[in-house]
Amino acid sequence: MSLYKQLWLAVIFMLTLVFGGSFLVSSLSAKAYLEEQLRMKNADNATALALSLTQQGADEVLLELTLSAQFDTGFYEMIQLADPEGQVTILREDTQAADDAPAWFIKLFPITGEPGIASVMNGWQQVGVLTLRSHSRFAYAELWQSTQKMALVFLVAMILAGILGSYLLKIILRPLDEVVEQAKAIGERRFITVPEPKTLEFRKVVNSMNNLSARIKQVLAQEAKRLEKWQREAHVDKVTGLMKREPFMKGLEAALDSDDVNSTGSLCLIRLSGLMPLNQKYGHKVIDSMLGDMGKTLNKIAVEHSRWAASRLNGSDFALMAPRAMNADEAAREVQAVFQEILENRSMEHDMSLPGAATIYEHGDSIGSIMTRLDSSMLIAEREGESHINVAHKGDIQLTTVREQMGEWRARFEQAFAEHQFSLSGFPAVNTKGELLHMEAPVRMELGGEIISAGRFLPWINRLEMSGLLDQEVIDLALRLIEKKGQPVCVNLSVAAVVEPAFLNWLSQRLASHSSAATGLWMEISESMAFRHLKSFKMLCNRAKEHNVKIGIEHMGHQLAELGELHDVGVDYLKVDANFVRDINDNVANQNLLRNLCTVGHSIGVIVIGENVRTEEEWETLKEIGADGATGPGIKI
Amino acid sequence: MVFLACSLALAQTDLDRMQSLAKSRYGQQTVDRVAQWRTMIDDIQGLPEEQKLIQVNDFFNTRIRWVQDPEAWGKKDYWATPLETMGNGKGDCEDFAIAKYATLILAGVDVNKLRITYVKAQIGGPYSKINAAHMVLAYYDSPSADPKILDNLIGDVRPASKRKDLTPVYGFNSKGLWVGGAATPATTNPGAKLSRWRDLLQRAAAEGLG
Repeated sequence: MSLYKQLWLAVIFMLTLVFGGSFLVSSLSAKAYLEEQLRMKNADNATALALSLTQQGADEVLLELTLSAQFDTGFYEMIQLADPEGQVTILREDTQAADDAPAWFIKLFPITGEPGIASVMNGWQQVGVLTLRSHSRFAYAELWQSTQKMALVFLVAMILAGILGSYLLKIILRPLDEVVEQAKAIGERRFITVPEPKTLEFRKVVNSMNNLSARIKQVLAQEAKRLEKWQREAHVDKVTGLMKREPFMKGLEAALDSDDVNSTGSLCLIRLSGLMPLNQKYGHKVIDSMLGDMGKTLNKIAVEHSRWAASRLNGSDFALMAPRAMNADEAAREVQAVFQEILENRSMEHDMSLPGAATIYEHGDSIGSIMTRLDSSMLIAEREGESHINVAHKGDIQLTTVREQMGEWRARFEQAFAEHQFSLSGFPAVNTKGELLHMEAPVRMELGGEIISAGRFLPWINRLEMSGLLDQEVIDLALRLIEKKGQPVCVNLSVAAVVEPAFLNWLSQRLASHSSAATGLWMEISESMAFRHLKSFKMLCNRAKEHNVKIGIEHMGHQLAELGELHDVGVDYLKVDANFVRDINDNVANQNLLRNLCTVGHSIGVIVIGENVRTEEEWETLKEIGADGATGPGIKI
Repeated sequence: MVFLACSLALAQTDLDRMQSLAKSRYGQQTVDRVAQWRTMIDDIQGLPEEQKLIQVNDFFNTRIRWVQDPEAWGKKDYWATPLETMGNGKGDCEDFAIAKYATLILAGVDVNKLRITYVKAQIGGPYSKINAAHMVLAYYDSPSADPKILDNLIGDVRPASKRKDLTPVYGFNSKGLWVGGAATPATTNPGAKLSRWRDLLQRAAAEGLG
């Protein structure tokens, strides 16, 4: 029962009780008062009448006339005269029913005025006994009216008290909504803090929940810092702050393997030609500081773009991987320019040259072929002397320009959307018991009778800014698939799903109309997008929660420092980037990293899933360090 | 038992209380008088009512001195209880009538036969021109009988027909005023004090004539 209902019941009960009590008391005292008044009036009137009859002498006609006159002009119920033997000789009685008050009321509060009795004499002779009773109907009317008035007053008081009470209750309970909101959020693993309400009892609750949220946030932030430090130590070159060769190559490999927008891009090499002799000329310290500056600027370029990565491959070789870049050498020229500036600042530009090589990599390329391409291209660049950048093309020389290609792709996509030529493939993601978590479903497109993978067309979708449309298509496909197969399906969403405001409304409507299928839907978005658009991502999460859709972050692990931001987001799962999963059975540093990530994830109720697990060994190691699930070519159901 | 007929349910007559009040309030002489009074009541219980009337009439006429109210009580028109009358040794006409009325009821006379009656008295006989307001006690052997008059002006009990000097105005007894054994005790009734007669009944009850 709601508090409002209870309040109304209490008010009605209380006031009915009070009304009942005061009604009883006032009615009884009024009844007693009226009875007393009636009795006195009866006695006085009887005496007065008897006195006057006694004075007049006992003529029978006179007696009758006097009594009639008294009865007819007065307010009597009954006047009777009985002779000394008790025989009634004259009787005047009003037999009208009293209709001034309802019969039940009269029955409930009978007013019995004692009759007045007096003896009538004639000289010394007794004539009889006069008995007289006044009418009590006026008393009833009075009592009934006052009761009605009182009932009305109490009814008004009851309504007023109820309304006032409801209003007060509303004021008192207002903070409760916030408390409930917060509790709900915490239940959904969104550890939010809310302002403390004024009501003491609620303040205590909110205070402790705020403390809980704050502590979770703190723990997450601390863990994130620690994880990032570990990651740095394992993966980062100390002098330049850039990624070491091994993790960079793993990243590249993972990108080439991946089925998303990052599987195509440019890769460039910049060589500090003539670095070795400079070490002797200027000393290690100067050169290290120069390298450090270069690392910083290179990192700066990398972090400006999602999933770009920079590395010092060896002493003098720097590499920049620029996923989604369309021109092979654009990034290389930028790097070259900033390096040149650093050299010029130190007046070393004549001691060194900055030859570079760049190429476009695509989904399905092998690392070996790309690196071979770059190395030979670098040889050419070095041979040309100065700071030349040589662009290596895969196979034959690229004939069509980017602009032409975009036109082609646009036509293809328009046709694909119109004819619904997209489909979902499926790879199982399993939990540690080998049970299906969901079917990971990357999107496929039919092109000229051939099914092409996401890695090939996603970059173009992205460039053509059609990814929002694709996200909608993908969600529709997934919902249909869930309805058909009854298995949970996981789809990757693009940044459009996060940043396009219209998408949220579309999503809500679509999920609402497929509410049962929605419970089997898992949606994920890449780490860099989630953190870059954290606010919008939270809104997406809230929408998803409303429809019991699971939401997660994929390619997790590159921005661990920002892990603490997740305390009030409410994600359900994290998918660890393939970079960290690759050969994890041999990589102690990554094991430590993931072990901690799992611990942190579990502490806020989030499950951790390894991406792109290829071997049984990797999966076993992941299980050991606490991962909750895995997906990839090595996972079968 | 003054109000035997009407007040049996209310309180018990407590003549011992009356006697102890006589002692504390008035002294030994009154105690003796009350004792005599009680003896007299006991003595006449078995006698015919005619005899009771004479005994009671004599008892008060000989022991109580007739005075006007202001002299007896210091206020105009005060109705004294039997105990007050006996304690004071004097009283006016209504004090006599009341004391006789109360005593006769205690002696077993039916209250219905008694009327305290307002009379106009011609002082000095039926032909006197001096009229005075007076009160006597009338006894009706039967409702239609010629009543016997117990008066303090004339020592013996005479029938009304022999009392040409008295003209009755109005008669009453405790029945007419205290009807049907009213359920509420007189003392708690706010209307009680208003009537002189009822006020007297209350005071008498408090003195033991419950």
